[in-house]
Amino acid sequence: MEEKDILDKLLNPETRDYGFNLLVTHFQERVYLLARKMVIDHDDANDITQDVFIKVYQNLEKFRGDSSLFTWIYRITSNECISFLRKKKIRNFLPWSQSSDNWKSQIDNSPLISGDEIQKKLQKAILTLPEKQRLVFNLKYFDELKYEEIAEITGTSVGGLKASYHLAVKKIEQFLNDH
Amino acid sequence: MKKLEQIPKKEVFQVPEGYFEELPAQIRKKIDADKSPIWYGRPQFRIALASITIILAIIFSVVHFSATELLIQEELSEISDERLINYLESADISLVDIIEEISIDEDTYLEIMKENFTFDSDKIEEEILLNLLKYSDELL
Repeated sequence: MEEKDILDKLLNPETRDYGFNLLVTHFQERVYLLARKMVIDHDDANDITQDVFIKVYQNLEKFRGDSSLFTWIYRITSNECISFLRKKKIRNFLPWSQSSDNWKSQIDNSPLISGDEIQKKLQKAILTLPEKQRLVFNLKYFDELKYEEIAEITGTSVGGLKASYHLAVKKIEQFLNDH
Repeated sequence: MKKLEQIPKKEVFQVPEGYFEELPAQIRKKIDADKSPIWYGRPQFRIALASITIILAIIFSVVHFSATELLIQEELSEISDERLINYLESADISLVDIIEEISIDEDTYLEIMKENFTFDSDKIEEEILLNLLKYSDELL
């Protein structure tokens, strides 16, 4: 299913709901996995994913086609993840390190997280990054997006993204060697 | 030193069985529940209220903050680079926060990396910070 086919269905009022269903089916896994990488917990990622698609539905008429559907949806997802993490920090009155400890525990113990020791260690290393840097790292490393695409999603300059990703890699490698 | 590229890339996050099959229906259910028949829940009312609030906020901001903004700009321009660097080093502002706020082009980034990159990870943040401040027009 091409984006163009989904967009055609969405733009036609008679097929809009069908088009939205196609959109959800097409993008749900990527949206969920980005959210899950950011917030670790499945229930939180599920909430974010649903909120993303509800926002997409509510703002369909505002989508002008300046960017691709994917970029637009990923931008909403990124914003929802950052917003969620910041609210969680405030709500829990926890310093970032304590939230991070809870997530590390989930990585070790959750039945919904697999992988061998080194891959779990990598996820823990990623948790040490500030939220925006984590987002950039996940988009670049796991989603393998180009810097120009990430720039469109995050609104950050390509130069800034390269610097951010470069630092993230160094921090992660240092963590892997220290632990 | 272990390198990131040595680690096989794998998706470690799993989902409960049937999750993606059920998700579209769950989202549809929430959307349908959200369509409120009550007048103050209607989008037109919310848009009108939001517009008025925004206009009032803009008027207030322009009147109240324009004078203050000017004063801050003047005071900032009198502060030396050295004092700013000392402040940034002591303040709880991460290098990442600064990098992400600065708009630097690719050539500037490459120049900075070429001139200043070292493999000493303890020094790398400090060096990049100092050189970004040197090349950047906006600091915060």
